[in-house]
Formats: sequence, structure tokens, C-alpha cells
Amino acid sequence: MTTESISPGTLHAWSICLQASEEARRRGDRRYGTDHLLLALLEDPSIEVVLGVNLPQARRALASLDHEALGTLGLASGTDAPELPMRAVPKKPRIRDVMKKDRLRMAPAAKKVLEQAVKPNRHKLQVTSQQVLAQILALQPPDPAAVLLGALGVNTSEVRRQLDTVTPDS
Amino acid sequence: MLTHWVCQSILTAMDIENLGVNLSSDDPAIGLRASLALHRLAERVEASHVASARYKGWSWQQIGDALRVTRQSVHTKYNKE
Repeated sequence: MTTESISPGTLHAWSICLQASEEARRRGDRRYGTDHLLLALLEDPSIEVVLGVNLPQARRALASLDHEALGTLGLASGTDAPELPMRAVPKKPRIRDVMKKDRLRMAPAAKKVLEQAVKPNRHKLQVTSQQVLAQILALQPPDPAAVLLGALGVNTSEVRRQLDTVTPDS
Repeated sequence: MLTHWVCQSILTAMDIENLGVNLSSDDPAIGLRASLALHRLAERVEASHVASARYKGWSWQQIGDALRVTRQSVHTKYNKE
């Protein structure tokens, strides 16, 4: 059931889902979307290097996008409430971890990203961060992940080119 | 009863008349993000005040009544931490 024995860079798709759902919980979202998947991927140092941004920067960018949007409604820029605590994500998630009663649901766009990412794999629950990132980079605004990458100033076509040279088969 | 400085600051910061004008802003990308951002903010305000209510000795039943949900739902949602 675990993936460590197969390839060092391979993750269990559930780990990414759980990490993304904790990022969503932290912000107060009820569903996790492509932007949360991107935050989950930034736990992987190699993704930080490829994108040239780190997790705190991406979290701050999301918060400032929110503040900007709330500003258009006339809410003062200092209006905020503390972020919610994240729960620990197990290294080797089991079915009981993903089927908790109070779990957050996945947004349809995030589901599609993961489905496309695991498509070439024989084991559909195993995926690499790079495969998921490649799918996220293909998204266009107004998708939340594409908006976030735009706000972070990431050159998506350049990163895709880099990913293609590293993993020509994906 | 759950009004707190955060809620109060939101209420006073929001100019209701301007809100109507701003809602007619024609960029759906901003408008839809603002709507979700309000949901997120509400969720965080709720969590913060549930914690504060528990600290002040409120029962799950009282919190549930204030939020118009059952005590079980509040307990399931917030009793983890």
C-alpha cells in the first residue's frame, strides 16, 4: 500500500489530498481546490526550487489576493481573523484518514487535476509532485491556482519547459 | 451575543451603501473571489468565537443554539483541537 518502495519521488495521492485539505482548513475554506493543491506541492523542496517560490510566500500571496477582493466590497484592509489550526497529515495515510466525517471535499477542478496527473501511472494512487505540478501549470485564469501563480510572478511556460526536460516521458 | 471586536470591526468597516455600488463591479473574477473570501472570513470569525465561547465556559449546546445548529455539529467541527 505504501509507495516508498517503488520510487523515492513517488507520493501517495492521498497525502497530497490531505495536505491540500489542511491548507484549505487553515484558510477557512470548505472545499479544497487547485490553489490548495499547489500549496500542498510546495511542501516538496524540489517544487520550491522549480517554481522559485516557497510555501509562506504562496500563502501570503493568497491572503493578499483575498484582502484585495474584500477591499472592492469596501472592507477595510485590516479586516481579518486568525487562521485556523492545521491538523497533522500522516506520512502514510490510510483510508480512515481520508474518510473522516468532518473531511473537506475536493473541488471538481482539483479532482480533474489529480485524475489527469495519475493517468499515465499504472498505480492510480501513486503520483509525483512533478506530475501534479505539470497539470496545475496547464490551468488558465480564472482557475485559482493559475491566478495564484500569476500573483507570484511564476513564468508557467518556462517552468513547464524545465519540467519537460527533467521528465520527458510525462 | 457572539459579537466581538472582529465582527464589530467588520460591521463598522463595511459601508453598506457603497457595498451595493461595489457589488455592481463588472469584473466577475474579483467579485467571485470576494464572495469566497467573505465565506473564509466568516468561517475564521466563527472558529475564533467558538474558541472564545468555550474559554468563557459556554456549553456546546449554547454555542450550537447561537449558531442555529445542533450541539453535535459544533462539537464534531471544533472539538479536535
